[in-house]
Amino acid sequence: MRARDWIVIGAIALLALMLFAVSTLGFGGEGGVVRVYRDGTLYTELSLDRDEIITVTGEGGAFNQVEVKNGAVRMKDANCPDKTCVACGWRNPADRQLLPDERWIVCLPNRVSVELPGE
Amino acid sequence: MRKTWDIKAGRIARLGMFAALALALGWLEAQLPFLPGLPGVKLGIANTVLLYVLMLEGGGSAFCVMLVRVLLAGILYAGFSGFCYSLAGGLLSLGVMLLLCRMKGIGLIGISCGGAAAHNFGQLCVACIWIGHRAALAYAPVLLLSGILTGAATAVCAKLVLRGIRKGGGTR
Repeated sequence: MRARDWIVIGAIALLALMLFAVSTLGFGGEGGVVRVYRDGTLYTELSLDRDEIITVTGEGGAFNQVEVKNGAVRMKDANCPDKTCVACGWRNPADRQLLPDERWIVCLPNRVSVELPGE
Repeated sequence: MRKTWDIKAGRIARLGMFAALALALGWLEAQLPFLPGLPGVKLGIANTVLLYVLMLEGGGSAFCVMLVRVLLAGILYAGFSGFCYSLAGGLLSLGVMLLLCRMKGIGLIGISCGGAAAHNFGQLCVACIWIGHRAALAYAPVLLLSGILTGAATAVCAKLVLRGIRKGGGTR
């Protein structure tokens, strides 16, 4: 381990910190609106106050079920191969201040992303 | 004439072996499940191979091994999307590693950490393009910081292998 290795590590950590700050500050945090995107465009908006389950459908039978219940949001089910989105579980903006990456539930294979409000 | 041919053949054989090793290690890692709550965070054991090719054979060779590995992995198990992620990650990480190599006083750990962070960042950029907006960028701090840890771990692995290769008379 050389001294300059620490500089590289420090630079990466600094970049991470900056991106963290940017994505924390640059977030609107509109009260109670959950945005669902598909293929980069807004698919629908949901309200945290109303419990419902919607299904986002895509090409070739692709689907993602987004569920809102008691102010929390989760990906209920999806047909993607890895189910990483489903594994995210429930996210509740009222519980605590969500971290920037926790405000998104993303299904990469189906190109579906769910944006949670900041507070 | 004869001699240069032998050297070239030997080099091609070595690089082929390294590419095969990287491919096998990459496959092995693809079989492991994601860490719970941290999708995309991987150890990157295939990258240890790239590290010692970079150290022993130079940048051009490392580039070839990376390209062959990414291409074959895409055909064999990763699929087209996997190929895109790997290519972006591979190109960016190799670029950063070459840059750090040229700088004075940066050791294997620094090179590896820089490469791992760049790899993760490159993949994230593809993810951003793929899903069509900046959502994935919110995940960048997680992937950059995990790059430091996994980069250091792969550097330690590569160091042990390099020591073994040099003890055994080297590959040259």
